[in-house]
Amino acid sequence: MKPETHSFHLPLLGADGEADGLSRRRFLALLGASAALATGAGCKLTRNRAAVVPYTKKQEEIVPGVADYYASTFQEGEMAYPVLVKAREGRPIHVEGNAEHPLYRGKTSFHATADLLGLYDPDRVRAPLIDGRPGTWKAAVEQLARALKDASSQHKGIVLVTPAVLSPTRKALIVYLAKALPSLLYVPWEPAADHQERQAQRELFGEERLPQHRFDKAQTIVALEADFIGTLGDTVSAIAGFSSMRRPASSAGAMNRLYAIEGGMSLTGSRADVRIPMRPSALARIAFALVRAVHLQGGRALPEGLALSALEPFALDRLPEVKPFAAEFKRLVKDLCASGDRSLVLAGPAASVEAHAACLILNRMLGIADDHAPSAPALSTPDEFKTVVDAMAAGRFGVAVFWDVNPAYDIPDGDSEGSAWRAAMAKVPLRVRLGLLKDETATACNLVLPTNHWLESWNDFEASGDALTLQQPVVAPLYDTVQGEEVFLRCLAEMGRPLARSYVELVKRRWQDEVAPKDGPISFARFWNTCLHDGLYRRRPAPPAARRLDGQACTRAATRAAQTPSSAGFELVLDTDPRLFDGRYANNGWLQEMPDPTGRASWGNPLSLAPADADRLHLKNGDMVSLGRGPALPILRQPGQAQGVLRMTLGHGRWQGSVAAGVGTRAWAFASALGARSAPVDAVTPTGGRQELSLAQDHDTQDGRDIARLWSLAEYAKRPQQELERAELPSLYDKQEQKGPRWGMAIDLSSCVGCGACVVACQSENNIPVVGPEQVRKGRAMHWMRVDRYYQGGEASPRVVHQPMLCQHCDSAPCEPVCPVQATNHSPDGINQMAYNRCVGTRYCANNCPYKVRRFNFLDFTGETPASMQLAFNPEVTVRPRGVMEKCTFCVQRIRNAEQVAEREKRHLDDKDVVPACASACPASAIVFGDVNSPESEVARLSRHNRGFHVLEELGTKPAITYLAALKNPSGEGEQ
Amino acid sequence: MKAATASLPEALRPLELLQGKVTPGSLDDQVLRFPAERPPRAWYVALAVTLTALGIGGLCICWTLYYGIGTWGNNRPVAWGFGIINFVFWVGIGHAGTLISAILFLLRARWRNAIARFAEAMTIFAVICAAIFPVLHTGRPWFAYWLFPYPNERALWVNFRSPLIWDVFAVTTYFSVSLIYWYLGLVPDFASLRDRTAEGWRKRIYTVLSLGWRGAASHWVHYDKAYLLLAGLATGLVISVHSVVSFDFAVSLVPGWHMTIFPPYFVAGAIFAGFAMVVMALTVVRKTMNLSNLITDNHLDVMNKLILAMSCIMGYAYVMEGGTAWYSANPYIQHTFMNYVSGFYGWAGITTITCNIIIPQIFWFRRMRRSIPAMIFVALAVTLGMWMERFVIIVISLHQDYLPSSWHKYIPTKIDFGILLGSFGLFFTLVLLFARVLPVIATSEMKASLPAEKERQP
Repeated sequence: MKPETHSFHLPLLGADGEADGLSRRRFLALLGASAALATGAGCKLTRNRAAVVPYTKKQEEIVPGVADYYASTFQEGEMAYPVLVKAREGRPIHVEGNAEHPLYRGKTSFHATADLLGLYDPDRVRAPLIDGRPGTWKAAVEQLARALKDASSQHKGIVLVTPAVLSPTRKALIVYLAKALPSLLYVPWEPAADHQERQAQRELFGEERLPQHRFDKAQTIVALEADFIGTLGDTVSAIAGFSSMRRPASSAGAMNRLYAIEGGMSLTGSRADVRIPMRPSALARIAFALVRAVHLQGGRALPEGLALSALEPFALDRLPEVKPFAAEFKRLVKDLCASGDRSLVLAGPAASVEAHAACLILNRMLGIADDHAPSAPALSTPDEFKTVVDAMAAGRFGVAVFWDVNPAYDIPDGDSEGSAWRAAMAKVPLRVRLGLLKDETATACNLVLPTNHWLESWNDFEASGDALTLQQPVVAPLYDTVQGEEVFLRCLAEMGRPLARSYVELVKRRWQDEVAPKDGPISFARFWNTCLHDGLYRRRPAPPAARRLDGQACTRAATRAAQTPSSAGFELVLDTDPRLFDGRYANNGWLQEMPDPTGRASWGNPLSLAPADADRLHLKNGDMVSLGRGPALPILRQPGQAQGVLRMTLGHGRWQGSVAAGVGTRAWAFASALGARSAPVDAVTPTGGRQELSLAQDHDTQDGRDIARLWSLAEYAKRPQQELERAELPSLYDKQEQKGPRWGMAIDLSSCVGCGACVVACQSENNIPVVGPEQVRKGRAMHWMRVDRYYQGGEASPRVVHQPMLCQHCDSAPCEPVCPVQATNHSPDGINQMAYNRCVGTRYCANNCPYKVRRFNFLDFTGETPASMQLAFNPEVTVRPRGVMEKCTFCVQRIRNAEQVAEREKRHLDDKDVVPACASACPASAIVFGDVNSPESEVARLSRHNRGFHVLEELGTKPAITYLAALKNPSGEGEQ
Repeated sequence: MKAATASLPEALRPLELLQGKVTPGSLDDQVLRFPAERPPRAWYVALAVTLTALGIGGLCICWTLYYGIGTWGNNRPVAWGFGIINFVFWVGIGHAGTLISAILFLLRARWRNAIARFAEAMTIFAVICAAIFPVLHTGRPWFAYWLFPYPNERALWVNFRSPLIWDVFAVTTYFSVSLIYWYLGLVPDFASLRDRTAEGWRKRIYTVLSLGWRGAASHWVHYDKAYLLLAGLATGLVISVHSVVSFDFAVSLVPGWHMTIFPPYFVAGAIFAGFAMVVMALTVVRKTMNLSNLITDNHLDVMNKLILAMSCIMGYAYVMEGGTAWYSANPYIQHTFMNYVSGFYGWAGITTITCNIIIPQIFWFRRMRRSIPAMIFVALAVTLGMWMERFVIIVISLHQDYLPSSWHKYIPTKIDFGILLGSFGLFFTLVLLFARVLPVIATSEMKASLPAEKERQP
């Protein structure tokens, strides 16, 4: 599926933004009006007037019923992921990765997929709000331009707060803006960035680079409170690289080894081969102890300027924290020394600056080059941001512009209302909010300028070193909104310093001047169209630039680490939320309902507590505790969590937004300082209250059942060969001969990291409704694809296995014979089908399904979908009414589509043409789909794999899904 | 006669089925007078109570129809909850009537004559109560008729492999045969009522209902033949209905459901529960309607013996279930069986065993079998126990089946309880109406078993 060149489509919503209650009559009226506007003058729907064509005249590249694909880019924090957007009749309905990109190869963050809902969010501000009242853009821009000009001439400050700027053109625009307005203070602000890592890099190298870890090469990985699978940095390529090293061809194959040293149980910890529960305050000492040990035992030279004497306090065998895990650490050091530059040592934001410094030193000593790492986008440090807030409070600013940032939510000043922040805001005469929603910051602003969603915007990005990517609008703005950059262009024009007529012109101009190859054989227009089609322009990576490690700084860091006292009380770790990130997706129902991959709680962020601590305090799941500051919050017993460590995720507890408000607890309220990700807690006091958690899973262990197999490499090797070669179970019935394709799936539990990207992709592709916290609590979540999580071993240090569970499309499906009306039946190509129209809803099939993958519409979950959200529905999939059973279809719509295409092209259907949403989204490539009947297909090969098994095979259901046993590679086993 | 039987052991002596002097005339006067009389105050009070319960149930049903099954406690994995529990419970209650009227008729157990009519009526009412639930519990009750194999323009057919379709046939057949059987027995009594009633609308109704019965010998010949044939037909149904209902469970692969013992176990349980309900109702009826001379302590004694026997069969079935679980070496079934008596719902299993197995054992004592409070206590216990048994089978088996990740508790809602209450309201409303408008004792059958005129005049 190649992306196509861009053109605008008609918006389905009126310019006045009345999305709700869009009747057919109104729809037609709008269609007519839009067409009239499109041809007439003064069209305000889109700037690219020429391309707007009414459906009355068939557009050349749009066939109703046939999807179009557009390459674009999705930005999240310091990352930009290339994506491919699927559009039907002009509206985006699904987001996947862009296969053209050399690094991401068709994978993307599931946040990009989920943020489709952000486009259709009924909470979006639909026209500029001037002092709370709807106004026109003309008035708003005039007011803003005047204020900017006045502030500039009166030498009053102007502060512009934005997220990390990854777009070179946006950067150029801001630079130009700063030139035009000398008093402009530009503050790039990412509250949840790893500020500790950045500070360590500044201290040690004098510059900041974006870590580009080669997980696909690393043999030994040491993660110090670094959740590189769940939340830290570029999780997509990290998962892809990491997983590629976890599927050995046989028991003798090579496999990486992950050591996770962490307090809470992160997704990374759950994948670890060796997991060492540890307080975050001990990490710096441990990291320096590793530096010392690698130097002494591995003979790796210390960086120049760092004397061994400075590391004297860090003898590994003398650290009290290390003592209980002496054997593990010994092997860790051995592994690190052995794998050398095929190692990786990482620290996460909860680790101190010193721990990060030690990791940087270690990587340098082991020879892991970071020459190719691109320089990190500039970000203000928390201290700098605090200075800005103080300056605001001192009345130094005339204008404050908050562009896609929400500091009112990020400021941890105790109470969720943020009184100090409000006081600071009150001192700024003109507070401007550029963004999609009326969020916590916007409510305190007197100018709220609604911006385009990224699916309505132009931009370019410089994310990874080897490609520049483009962002292009897939739909004309749904409402009377304007891209943020465009607002500034208009202001500049208003101030008499025009830069460009539109932002896309600016992007194009920059690409023509700076990106397009000079004197190339093709014209710029062709170059631009090709780049737009591909979504990116590959270029040679910048030449490597080595950076010098400051030995003095290393010594200083070591000295500081040695002086950190070890703490005895509770330590709180604040992690970004794997689903809501820093809170920017809190209004997204799909992500709210997605269960946390390890804790399995949806709709909220309970405080996780070590089981031993919970027992000591007599706390059960959902019991409320107080931490001495901030609100009371419910707890979750988290097996594997280090004693004395508390962990919770950011992004919850917002108080604006119809979905976000009131869900979970605002974690920043417990932070000791702005942006700080670990904090001491004096006492955990049960309040006696309770708040039922919306847990997606009630029972955490397999109870000895053989459901999700988890072997160590040694166990795998020891298995007798005949046990690994699976014979078919005997049956009384003759084997059914079946011609043509038989669709099947193989899921490698060893590759699977449990991130849940498949869950979101499935939800988007198959119109799966969001049911809300209460219904989740009752066990009525509708996910067709879920990721089960099981613990094995004791609560103190469990082994974790994740198992994506979906309809197994059994050849001998128990659900089929029991349906009284044959609403569920088997297709000739092996799919267990569901005829929603025929379903009466006896739910017998659900009882008889041993995998419990059938989902019932207990209530009317879809009927009240807001009009704008209905546009996100995939028109190829039925929206199910109340009282009907549903379940995974193997994305039958994609199969039938591919069949039709193959037939039209008069060729055989290749099973590679069919990729279900889950398989397509899986960053670990753990899900392989295809024709089991075709002997050379990948899925057939995997179904015969000697790690393969069927879940509950003994029931004789003959599932079409083969799981491959999860493998762990713990140290020590093979060597004994 | 008495002298002849005095030498027999007690168990072999024919029962004393009448108290005092009963003649065909006095029998008619005693039984057939109710429809013409104004009910006592207590009847109105009772009716008010049952109608209130029925009204609450009706409201809850409307609520369910408007909002959906989500208003119940059902979830994943417990897709069946109170709906199917109540269905199986009421179908079970409906078993005693046909058993008494058909099987005991064929076995020539004369003591059945006095209680057959009442028990049959309870069967009809119980099946009416039961029939509400399978329809109501579907996600889209307005399409529930799709479960019938009717010819349609879409050429869609039902799935004859599904036990739910078997259910549809079993229950509808059972209901129609029971209804015809009941009505057939009522025809001679309708004629008696017609003859006793003065001119008026009542007489016209009885005239129509009595189908021109004149008591001619030819009528009796046909009547007896039809009655016998229907008894034969109904006998098979007594066994089949609950066997088929049990297939809903036995045919599935849910651990705890997939058991070969289920059909006989369900039939025994149904008779057990039905008898308990009949005993409970009879004790009240014979007291309030002054029928103690016709429904004697001996009748109740025999019923209680049957309850005791069924209780023992149930005990055997429970032990067998455990035995099967143990012997199967199947960890899933073993887990489910352990859940029956321990774990979150363990109290339900304990209640079931206590009510169904332990408490009825007091009927080993003759004094208990003849004590009204004791038998009401046992009947209540059995009714509760049998309801709990269905709860145990359905909810406990489902809430923890194969994949531990999907285990989830089931908590019924107020709506669930409201509809259950409503079904009791409906049942007892119908019983109350029946007691006042139709002959509660089959006078024609009683007359056949009255002692001959000579014996009555020693």
